[in-house]
Amino acid sequence: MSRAPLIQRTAMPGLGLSAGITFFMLTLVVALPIGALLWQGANFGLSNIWATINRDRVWAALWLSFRLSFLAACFNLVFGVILAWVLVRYRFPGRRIIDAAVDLPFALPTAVAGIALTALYAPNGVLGGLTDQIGWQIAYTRWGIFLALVFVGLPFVTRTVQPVIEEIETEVEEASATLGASRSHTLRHVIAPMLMPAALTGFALSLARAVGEYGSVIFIAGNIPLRTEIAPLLIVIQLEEYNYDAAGAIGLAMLAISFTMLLFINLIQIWSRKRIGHV
Amino acid sequence: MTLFRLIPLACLTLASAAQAQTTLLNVSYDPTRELYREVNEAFAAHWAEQGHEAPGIETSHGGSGAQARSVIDGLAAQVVTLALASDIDQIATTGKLPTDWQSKLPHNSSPYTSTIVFLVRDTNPKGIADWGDLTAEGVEVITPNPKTSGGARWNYLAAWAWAEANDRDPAEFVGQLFANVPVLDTGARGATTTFAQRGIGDVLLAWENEAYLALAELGEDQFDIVVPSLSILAEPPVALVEGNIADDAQRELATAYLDYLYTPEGQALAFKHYYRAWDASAADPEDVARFPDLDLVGIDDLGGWAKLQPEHFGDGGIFDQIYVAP
Amino acid sequence: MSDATLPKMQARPAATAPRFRSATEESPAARGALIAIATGGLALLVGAPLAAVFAEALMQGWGAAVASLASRDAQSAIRLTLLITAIAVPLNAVFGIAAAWFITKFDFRGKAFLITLIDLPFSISPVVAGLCIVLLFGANSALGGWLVASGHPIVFAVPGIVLATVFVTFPFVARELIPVMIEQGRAEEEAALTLGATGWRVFRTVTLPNIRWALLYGTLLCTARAMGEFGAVAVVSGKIRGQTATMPITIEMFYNEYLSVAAFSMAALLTGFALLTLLLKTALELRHADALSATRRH
Repeated sequence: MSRAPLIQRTAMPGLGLSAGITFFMLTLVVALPIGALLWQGANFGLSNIWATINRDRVWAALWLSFRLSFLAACFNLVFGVILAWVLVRYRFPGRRIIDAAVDLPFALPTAVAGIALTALYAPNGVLGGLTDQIGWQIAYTRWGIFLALVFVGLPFVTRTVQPVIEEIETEVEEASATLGASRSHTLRHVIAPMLMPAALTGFALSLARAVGEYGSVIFIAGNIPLRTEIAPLLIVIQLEEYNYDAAGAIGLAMLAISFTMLLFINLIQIWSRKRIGHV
Repeated sequence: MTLFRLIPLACLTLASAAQAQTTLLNVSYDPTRELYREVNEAFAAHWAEQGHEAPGIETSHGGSGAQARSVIDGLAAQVVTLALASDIDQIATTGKLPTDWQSKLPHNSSPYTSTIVFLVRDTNPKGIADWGDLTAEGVEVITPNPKTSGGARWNYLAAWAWAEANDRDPAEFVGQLFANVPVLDTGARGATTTFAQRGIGDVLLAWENEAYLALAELGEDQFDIVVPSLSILAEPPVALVEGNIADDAQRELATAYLDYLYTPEGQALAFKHYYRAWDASAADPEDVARFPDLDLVGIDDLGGWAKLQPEHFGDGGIFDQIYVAP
Repeated sequence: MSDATLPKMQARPAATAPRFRSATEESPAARGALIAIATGGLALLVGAPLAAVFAEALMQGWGAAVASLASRDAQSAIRLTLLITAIAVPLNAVFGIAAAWFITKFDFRGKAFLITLIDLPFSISPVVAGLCIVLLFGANSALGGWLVASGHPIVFAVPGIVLATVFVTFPFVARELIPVMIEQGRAEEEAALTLGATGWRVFRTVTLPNIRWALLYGTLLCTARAMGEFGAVAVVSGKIRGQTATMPITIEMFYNEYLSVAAFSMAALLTGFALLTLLLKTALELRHADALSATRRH
């Protein structure tokens, strides 16, 4: 494998300017604040960080946060692709409204979303009352957390997959059909691989967003330690005790896990683009 | 245009730079919103009557611990009115106010007090009369999390005090009590909402003023207040933050503001908002008479905040031990 | 992905003879089921909470809802939120364009790492984001202490709220632009350069027309999100009425004061702002679709 130079010279203008703005903003907005967190962690010491994290309650909260976020992202992956497919391929009344509504979870303040979801899905709420009759409690259980996480991550998959579906040329599907493939075969073996990279991006973003979500979840979660306590809440609890070190330690643990997941998914992305892109 | 003039304006105000109008920022905790809304108006009128220029008084509300942390991190509050002495102690460790702040004003710097009572559903279907009934099987108790809410620490300590007085093992008793809690909200108002509007739980442990306010705001026909045989004397303290005083004019204003809380007028407002104040001379007799009598245990009888805070609510403290994986 | 110069078919297959289903369509039953899943799911997840917000706001009629928005606290919160958005969104737009240009027009090592860094604010809990800003600029840090002493506090003032808002909306514009610019490739710009155009001119006349829809889309999303941010702003705002309380913070305040109508009216107004930007976006997309088919048709 030949080693590529750090940056390849091209005739494109604006290298200095674009790189300058990018690195300046990245430094000011992302690197410096996160650096402050890392610095705090470095002063606290690796063994202390491990001691803070390595407790049943912290593991339970991290496990809950990442597991439910993963499940919510899986739900969003399936639902988001269906939604994108329906919005691009089908014409039906109200399509435009639905299209606009997909972005609402980005726009609605998380606290408002949390309050509204809790009001609806609490046992005395409009929808919670219905499910309560079959013994299915949503608010204040893990279902409630799942629901809130699905809500905040909903737009990501749809919005990344939608443009790709728009680009897919029907000739491809026609060709597949001409060659005798059934519709479901075409969908599975022709369409699905084309959607995969974009869907994966949406999945990653949805997962990452769900892991960190606090505002809407605390209203609908029971917040009971070991059962319905999410990791961001543990950070807030440490802050209430003026324990910046421990708060930073849990924050760092979440950051490390999220960063690794995102990096992994971005690598898959770039790799698959290289493979498909330059045929 | 107006929008862009706001930036320097906001910066100036927050830096408490010299301004024509003397300003004051009171950083307080959650359930005092209604109280300070009225106190601010009354005090501004009182201050103007004495020939001063109308002051600009702002307040900020939130969880007591979070508010104290904001002041530590640089929120320029001249006055803090929080739920727990230990929160103001934390601010004192940064040197913004003297460590003996609590002796500067009468009654441990607490112009008003409160206690913890039970709010139950109308007609009290589970027949809850005292702390002992809360650990019965099938009783659901709503309280905020003592780790995130100052008020909940008073709830917890009141239960502890009752168990001690009734020869129960206090650690075991509070453990059983919290095993009956289905939802731990992060703040007192959140817990009230969960209980009153979402219909979760049989009993809410609440500040007395919060319970009365919930009755008034959310319907007297839906809830009853149950007063236990013994509860805790909650003393929410107030203090002047020396480190954030910009000049003498501001010091005069801040001092007068805190003193006003102790005047008969200020005390009358506290009574009106369901706080147990000290001086009833100007208060509406009806406001005073509505408080039932009960045994109140002071925080010093339990050992004082300096000892209780780390022992019970610190990392790995007695409260944390309730929630240990089986 | 494939050759972009090929004439492109309309996404929707042209209407065929009524009784025969095109080979590129699902059966009517499958279509119906998919539409039902999509609309039903969205109604339960998004529509119902939205309806709940408006129902609570209008519980006591329009008069009470509008009156609650006229209070001093409400007015200053609305002004502050608009101000923050007006500063944060252009900052992110400029960053997004620069980052997308840098990433798509040049080849360098560590691209995945850089993109991941840009994505990172999505995955950081807003609470941690606020904590980071406080750690960096709070009165107890070296930098923050100096800034406060010199009369330019960041935390608990407008700059801190702007910073928190820029942080949480950081990836929106860049994320929209990067895939579009990858898709476009570099050929058109290279051609223009060969013909002697300057860098700015290439950007204005070649790149910008290609990315303007994605840019607008990203900017509008960023706007909607910037107005609604709560978690990170709550940590750095200090929640001072009339000064540093943004609309979402004020909603929480009103809600905690049992001023349910005022809280939900403001939430409805905020949602209204968001809906407005989203509708604007939809309208733009309609024109975008026309423009797209127009350019592709030649």
